[in-house]
This record gives sequence, C-alpha cells and structure tokens, in this order.
Amino acid sequence: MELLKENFKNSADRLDKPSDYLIKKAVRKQNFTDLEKSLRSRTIYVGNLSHFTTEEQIHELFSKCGSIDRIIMGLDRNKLTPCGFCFVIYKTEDGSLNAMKFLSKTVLDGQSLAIDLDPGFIDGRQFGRGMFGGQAGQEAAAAAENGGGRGGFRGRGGFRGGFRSRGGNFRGGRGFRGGFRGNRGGFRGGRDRGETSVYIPSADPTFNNQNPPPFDPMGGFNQQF
Amino acid sequence: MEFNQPVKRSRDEFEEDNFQHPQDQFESEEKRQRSDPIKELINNVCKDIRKIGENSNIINQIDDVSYISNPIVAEFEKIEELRNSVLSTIYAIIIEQPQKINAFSNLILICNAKNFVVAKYVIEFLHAKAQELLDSIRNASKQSEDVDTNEENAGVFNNIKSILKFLATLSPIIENYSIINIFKQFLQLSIDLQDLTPETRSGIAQEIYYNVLISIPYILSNESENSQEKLIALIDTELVDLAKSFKIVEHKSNSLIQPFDSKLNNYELPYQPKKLIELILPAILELQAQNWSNDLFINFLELLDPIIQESLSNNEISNELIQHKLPQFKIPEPSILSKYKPHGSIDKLWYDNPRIIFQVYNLTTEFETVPSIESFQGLFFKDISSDILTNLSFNKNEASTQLSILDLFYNKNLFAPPGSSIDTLTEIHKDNVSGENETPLSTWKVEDVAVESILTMIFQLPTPLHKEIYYYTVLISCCKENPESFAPVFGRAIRLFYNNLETLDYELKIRFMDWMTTQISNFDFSWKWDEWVQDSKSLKNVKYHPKKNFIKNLIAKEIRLSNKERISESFITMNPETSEIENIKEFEQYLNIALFENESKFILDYDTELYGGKEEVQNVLEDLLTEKKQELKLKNIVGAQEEMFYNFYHSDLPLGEISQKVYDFIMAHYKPNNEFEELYEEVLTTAKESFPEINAERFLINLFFQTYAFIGSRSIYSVVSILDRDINKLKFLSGNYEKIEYAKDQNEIEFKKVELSSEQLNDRQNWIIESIFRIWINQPQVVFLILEYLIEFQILLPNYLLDKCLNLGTNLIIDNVSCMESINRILSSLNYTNGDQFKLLIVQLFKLIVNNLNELSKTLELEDAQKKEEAEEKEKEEVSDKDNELFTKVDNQWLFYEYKGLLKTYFRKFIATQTSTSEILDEIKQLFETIENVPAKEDILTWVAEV
Repeated sequence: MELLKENFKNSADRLDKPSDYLIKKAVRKQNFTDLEKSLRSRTIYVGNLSHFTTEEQIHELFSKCGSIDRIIMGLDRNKLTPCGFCFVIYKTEDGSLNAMKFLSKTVLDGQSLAIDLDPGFIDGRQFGRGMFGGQAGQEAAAAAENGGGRGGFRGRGGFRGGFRSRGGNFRGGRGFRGGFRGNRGGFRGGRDRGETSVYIPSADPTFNNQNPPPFDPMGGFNQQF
Repeated sequence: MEFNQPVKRSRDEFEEDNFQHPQDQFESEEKRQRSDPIKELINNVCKDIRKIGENSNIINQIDDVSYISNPIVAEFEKIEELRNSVLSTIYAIIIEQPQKINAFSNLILICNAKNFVVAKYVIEFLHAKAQELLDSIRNASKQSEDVDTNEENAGVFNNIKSILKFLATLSPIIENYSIINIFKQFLQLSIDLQDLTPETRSGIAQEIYYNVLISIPYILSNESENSQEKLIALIDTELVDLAKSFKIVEHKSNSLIQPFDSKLNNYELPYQPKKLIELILPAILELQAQNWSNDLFINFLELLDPIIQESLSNNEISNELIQHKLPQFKIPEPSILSKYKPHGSIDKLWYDNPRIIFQVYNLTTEFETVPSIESFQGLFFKDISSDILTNLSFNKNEASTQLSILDLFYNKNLFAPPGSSIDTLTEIHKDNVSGENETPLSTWKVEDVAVESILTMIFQLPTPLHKEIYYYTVLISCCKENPESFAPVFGRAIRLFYNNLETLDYELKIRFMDWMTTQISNFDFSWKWDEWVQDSKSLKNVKYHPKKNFIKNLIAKEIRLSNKERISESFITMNPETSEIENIKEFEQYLNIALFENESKFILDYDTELYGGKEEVQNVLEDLLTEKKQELKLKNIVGAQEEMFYNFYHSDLPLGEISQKVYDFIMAHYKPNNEFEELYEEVLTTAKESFPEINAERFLINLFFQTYAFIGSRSIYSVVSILDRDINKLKFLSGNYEKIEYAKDQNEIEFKKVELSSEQLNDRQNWIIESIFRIWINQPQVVFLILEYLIEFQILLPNYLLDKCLNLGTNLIIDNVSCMESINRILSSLNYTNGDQFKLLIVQLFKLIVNNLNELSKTLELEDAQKKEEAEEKEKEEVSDKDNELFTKVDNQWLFYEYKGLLKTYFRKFIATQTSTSEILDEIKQLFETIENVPAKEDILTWVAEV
C-alpha cells in the first residue's frame, strides 16, 4: 500500500495522516478505498467530546482551521442526545488536514479531543453504535471501569436499522425539529446539505437539567503566571 | 571539561518528565514492517538519525553517532533504498530542524573517515538539491504564476540558507576552502541584485545577503584552532569586506507593517522596532572584532578527533582524510532574479516587506532573558526558531518539543538552566553585577526564546505564515509539557500586550484576543483576573477604550468556547492573607454578552413598535417578558434556546392566529411555493385590514425570519438546513427574485413576480437583519452566523449588513468581535467567489469608515489627551452631566482611533497584499483625500504610498 509507506520526506511523523485505527481497519479488511478517500476528505471525525458540548462551541474552535460547511453531532441512538462525538465537514480539504494537524488533543470543555480523518459522512453514522445507543468505545470504557467485561459489546449490527422509524416518533410536536427533508439538494451545485435532519433534539427530558461535570478552575495553575 | 555531568536534560528525559509519547506512531509502523529486515534497518537508521543531537551527554552523543554511522558506512553503497532514505532524511532534518545541523555534521565527518564515499554522496546530493532549487527560479520565470504555493514551503532561498549552513559545518572535508567561494558567490549575487535597482529595495537581495551573513559562523564551527587561522583570513577578506559594499535600500516608511501605532503621536510605543537587515552586518562585525571566538556552538572536536583518527587508521582504502569537491553553483542572472516572485512563505516575507523585528521580552526586565536582537546570537535564534516553526508545521508536537529543548543544541553555558524563574535570574543578575560570579552567568531563558519566536509568528504582519491556530497549539503543547516553566512566560507576554493595548495594531489586538482565549481555554480558563479589576472599574463609564473593549470581548469569546457558568467560576483570586479563594465580582457584568445594552428594554421597545406601538400590546408584551424572566430565574443553567423570547403565536397578541399558521407551515415538511405565496398574501391582507397601525410588510418579514430562526434554534445547522430547504421562498420574501433558481426537474412552482421599489427592497433587507438581531439578541455569534448563511444563500445582500455593522449609533464592528470576525469571513469568501462584488463591498466598507472618521472628528479636539485621562480616572459616584460629556468625548476619541485602526487592517488585508484590487487603489486614494482630520489623513495617505 503506497500511502502507508514511510517515504522519509520529513524529519518527524506527519500528523495529517489517518490514525492507526483507520489503518488497522483497512489492513484487516484489506480494503483501502476508505483510507484513500479519507486523505482527500473534507470530513473529520471528532471524538472524546463532553456530552454537553454544543455545535456552536465546536464551530468556534474548528472554524480556526478553515470554513466549515456543517457539523453533524453524534447522537445516542436511543436517547437521541449528543453522545461524545461529531463530524465536522469543511468547505475544502485543507480544513480537515489542518484540524488533524493542529487540533488533536486540544481541550474543549475540559476534554482532550481525539480527531481522525474520515472517508466522508453517510447518513446514519451520526448514531452511536454501542450496545446502549451511545458510542461503542465510551460504553466499553465505562463498563471496563465498572469491572464489566468487554465481551458483551461486540454485538453491533443487531441494533442498527431501527433508528429510522424511531426517529419518526419525535416529529410533529412543537419544539421538535425532526426531518427538514428538503428534496432540493441538486440545484445548489451538488452540495446536498438538506437531505437529512442534521440534528434531532433530545427526547430525554432530564437532559437539560443535568449539571456539567465538576470543575476545578484553579487547579493551582493560575498562581504560576 | 565536565562532559560527564550534563546540566541539560536530553529529549528522552524531557519527555519522560512530561508524559508525552510522540514516538508511538513510529513504533507501530515499525512493528508492521518488521517482516522485512532491510526495511527494518532503514527505519532504525533513519529514526536514529532524526534524534541526533537530542542527547545532553556529549560523550554519549558522539558515541551514538559513531555507532549509527556503522550500518550507513557498511550498506550505503549496496542498498539503494537505504541510501535514498538516509539522504532524504538528512535533507529533511537540515530544512526542518536546522538546530541539529551542528550535531548532525558529526555523523558525516565520522562517516567520511570510515568510508569517504558516504560523505561524497551527501555533499553531492546537497549540492544538487541547492542547484535544483536555483534552477526552479529560471523555470518559474518561464512558467506562469502559482507554481508551488504550498504553505509548507519556506522558499528557495530560505532552504538554500540551511543547506549552506550544513555545508559550512563540513568545511574540514571540503577541498580548497571552496565553501568560501560558495558563500562569496551568493554574497556577490545579493550585491549585484540590489545594485540593479539602486532606488528600489530588492527583498530577495536582502534575504540572500542576510542568509549568507547569518551562516558565516558555521564555517568555523568544526575547524580546529590550527586550521581556523587561514579560514578566518579568508572570511575577513573575501566575505566581510565584500559584505560592507551591500547597499541597504529601504522604502520611506513602512507603517502598514508596524506592530504598534502611536495614535498620531499621542502614545509612546513599547519599543522602536528594528529591521533585520540593518542589524546583521554590525552583529557580524562585532563577532569579527572578537576574532570570531564563538560561544554559540558546542565544541565537539575534542571528542570527535580521536574517533576520526581511529577510523582513518582502520580504513582499508585510505588513511588520509579525504576532502571533497564543492563546485560553484549555476546561479540565475540578477536580471532574471529581479523579476522573480517567490512562492515560499519566508522568501515571500522578505520579498514583500522589510523584516521588522517583533519583541516581547527584554523590555521590562533589567537584564536580558533573551539574547539582544543587536547581537549575533539574538538574530541567530530568531532565524533558527522561525525556520523550525515554519517547516515543522506538519507536527505541532515536534515543533513544540524542539523549541522547548533548543538550548540542548548549543553551548552549555549559553542559557540559564531550563525553567529558571525570573526571581532566580534576578539573583544571578545581581551576582553578575556585584562580581559575586567570577564569570558572569547567563540570564537567557530558553522558554522566553521559544515563546517569543512563536508570538512573533502569530503577530506577523501583514499575515502569519500559517494559520494562527497552529502557533496557538504549539504554545499550548509547550505549556502542557511543562506548565511550571512556561506559564509565567505567558503571563509576562500577556501583560506586555495588555499594557500596550492602546498602541497595539488593531488587527494584532484581535489576534491577541484570539490567542489568549484559545490558550486559557486549554487551561481551565485560569487567569489572574484580579490584575484587571482596577482597569475595569476606572473604565466603567466608557465603552470603546481598548482595554475595556478587550476585557469584554475576551470574556465573550471564552463563553463561546465554553459556557457562562464555567467562565463565571474562573473569576477567582486567592486572598494573599487568608490563602482563601475569593470570587471577583467585577467581571460578572461581562457575562451578559447581548448584542445591545439593556436587552430587555430593547426587546420590549422593538416588539411594541413592531405591533404598532399600542399601549395594550405593550402591556401584554411586558407581562410575557416578566413571566419569561421569572421562569428563567428558577433554572440554574439557562440554555441559549431557552433565553429566546418568541411570542408571535401567542393568542393575546395581534395576528396570533395567522402567526400560528406561519409557524406550522415552516415547521412542517417542504411545501410548494404557491402555498407559501398564499400564506404570504394572507398575512399581508390580515395585517393591513385588521391592524392598520402595524407596518404589515415589516411585521411579515419579522414574523417569517424570526420564526425560521426560532424553529431552527436547536443549533446553527438546524437553522441552516431549514433555511436551505426554503431558499427560494426566502428569496421571494427578501426581494432578491433574480437569484431564484427553480428546480425545473422537480417542476417547482414559480412565484408570481412582485414589483418592489428600491425603497421597499432596502426596507426588507434591513428588516431581515433587524429580525435576526432581535430574535438572537442574547447570542451575537449565532446572529452573525445566521446572517452569513443568509448571504451565502443569496437571500440577504452583504452591503446591507455592512451598513448596519458600521452604523455610528451602535458601532457593532468595533464593539463586538463576533461582528468583525463575521465581516472578515464574508469578505474573504467573496474575495474568492465573486471578485466584482468583493471590490464593490471593499469600496463601500472604506466609504463607511471614512464617513465615520469624519463624523467623529467633528466631535473632538484631538489634543486634549489630558482631559481624557482625567475622565478615565473618574469613578461613577461623582458623575455629573459635564462628566458625561467628557466620557462621550473620550469614547468618540477611541472610536476615531479604532476606526482608523480598522481602516488600516482592511487596507493591509485587502488592498496592500492583493494584486487583484490594485485597480481600485486610485479610487480609494481619492476617498482617503476626503478625510477631514488633517493629521489622520496624512498618516493614512502614507499607507497608499507604501503599496
């Protein structure tokens, strides 16, 4: 695979290459199309977000790397609340490469961000693939912390497919913004932004009442200036 | 020699201390490729080469280098892939990490003793690389523009500089002092090139000249004392004497790239910026006066010589030291060079403008914490660190590590121990002065050198070489790895900029704010807020003072990255007596980030007027507002969405029923245009018939646009997708019919054409802006993002937004940094997509600013700076009407300065650095001629002369 070969053109590793996760996945499946796509993609995956981080905050930080086309928040499949990841789609590929190089491990809302190149957003990927609807990785980590085994989290596919009809249940009522299904995609130079609901509101009434994670602003740090 | 006990930390120690593992990726790659022994060997060798110089123990370092040389010497000729990879790595290190050049030359010197072919290959390879770069100039002049504008490329001449430095370190193994010839060749070129245009500055000539001179000391770095004598003589006669004949030609003025602005000589600058080109020859002459005794480079010779001698004696082919040929270059003629327009970032910097030195440290301390810019060392470290930062942008962590350990690559006593505090340095300085220290100890701080170099890049004018966020995150990495060493260094930088906000260039103020927000957002928003309490208090009655404006917008920006609760919790300080943490109440006021002051009153007045101004409606609205406030009070955390005050469908309000219909229409899925048109007519007719006091059209625009915004209020992209769905309907509403594009393939029903007078169009466009201002009054950032999308969708015309943002009543573009950032995005994006519209907008923007300057200057006499100071001191308690007049005057004066700063920013950004706008330069000059305030006009006209 030519693109994985070290060419020694630089004196240190480049940060704008796909993560080990993507590479391993490609090697395992012996399918490098996604990997190639991800190198020319306008989309990045952003993980390790706090569940309280809003699209506006993400916009504020990520727009420093280039103009953003749109942001798609990752949602818990069951609760339809943000679950710690999102896709940022830039207007040009420079934006995603810059974000990859510059924003990895930057702190947003107290969380150190994980960023990866992405082959491109496909509808449905905004939903968590964990057993409980959240992000698989986070659920596994939480379970491991509680002493649970990891074995139980492998059964992915079974829960998928159900979300479409479920999404429909939340439409209609005042305050819910389900499905602005604009079928107008074609005429604006192929930028079919409106094909799906970009954000489905929380169906969990307790969501807004939860307090953000504890915060220790001093941390001893500001005494050092 | 005390080589055995290194004071400095090696890179590994540095990383061990600081929990960072940037090598991880390499390891995993290594594992994958372990199957192939040759690949594995190449990987290991190249990885080792990359780390040369990072060991603080010089003995071990030389041993390591000798060890690394073995596989290279053995396999270099046999394995082509290894040879290519090693050569490629060598070149990458020279260009990207020039701080390693000295340590790295040891490898080649040792290889040469073991197998001279390796050194021959390396020298020839680098010679060919440099020649290739030179040839690219000839080719570039043949081809059209835009050959290589990759921002990772620092430029032909900057890269050649690093190659020259490296070749200079190899001087002991180069025949006939050829290295001097090469230097001389470039030096002569720079002189000839400048002489070609005796009246005009040649940026390339200055760059070549500077690059040659800054590299001279490398020639002596690996020479023993015996061999130095002859070389020094050659340097003196062939290079330094020649260098004296270079003519420095400069523009008359360069105010467009000055980091500070005296505000028409009303303020003192923190320092008078100097130019690189003027300092280099004196610095070299100073070195010459000290007989080139150089305390900069590590002296490896003592350790290197025995290894070289031993290798030579074991060498089967030759026991003599082999020297290599270094032929002169084929250099493009000055006539070709004079037409050359460089593409690389650092070359371009030289080409476009004089290189002005930005300073952060040494300004407020009694002693030097960074080498003086007038010394060779000062220029040297600026040069090295700017190369590292420019060329390592693909790995911010590596850039940060290398800058943090920069001292490691140079003489042990050059810097104070890493992490030394200012208190420690003050002690050292005291002992130096008193003679307590027999030989004075260094007070230079490697962290200061690193941070100053990064800030220099952030504050680079006219534009930074990379996206600012890259530099921010390099600084953040520095700080994360080593908070105790770096945090105080930042603190001093922040204080310097804050204390000089009155004179800091307008655009740089915005960059400062952006940097500081990003920086502290990564460290729990900690800042010593108590330092600014007094300023905030004494500036309570003015609005546009730069310090007040800075504090307000900084906090607003922090909130945008976080939330009000969290930012509020960061306003704390430690009581020095009780050691208890206390809240600072002073900054709570800035948590209200509403677009306009007294937002409740604004909302009430706005809505009452919208409904025709009747008292009973006002009462209903007032009740609703009180109710809303009560509701919000009960919550501990209020989301942006909950703060919105939207009541159109309320049954107690006029037109509630039809408003409900509009709400339901937009809420539902896409509906055909004719249904929309019917609804539109229905709203207009109902309003006109039942409520003659209401301006029906204004109500209609507000109803629709506020409802779209409200329904999409969950997030920016929900509003964007719903606006996107109904673009044509919205264009129909906004009066921008011509831009409607019907989806023919889907048989989209066309709207009936409604004839609008230009006045009606103006009104509708303005009302759209006002309606978004109104509905999102509490979230200015959202306001501007929505307006930007309305412009992108061609629903709103950008000139109307410009008018609103530069309105002298609200001065949003100055008052609210979200507004300026938004205008910048709009202009930049139009600049790429629609050049003609862009030019019209730029002219409009300049007209508006000039008009504001003229209006403001009517209200001030610029001389009374003293009165202004008095006003700033006044506390609220003693405010009389006369004082209020004074405050207004002070505010107007700052507005005047800020609009002038804004004008400079846009002139620099869109006129001075862009060839595409040169055709409107005359028009803009004429516009500037109409500025009434004479000193300001004269100052502004010098900018035009600089283009």
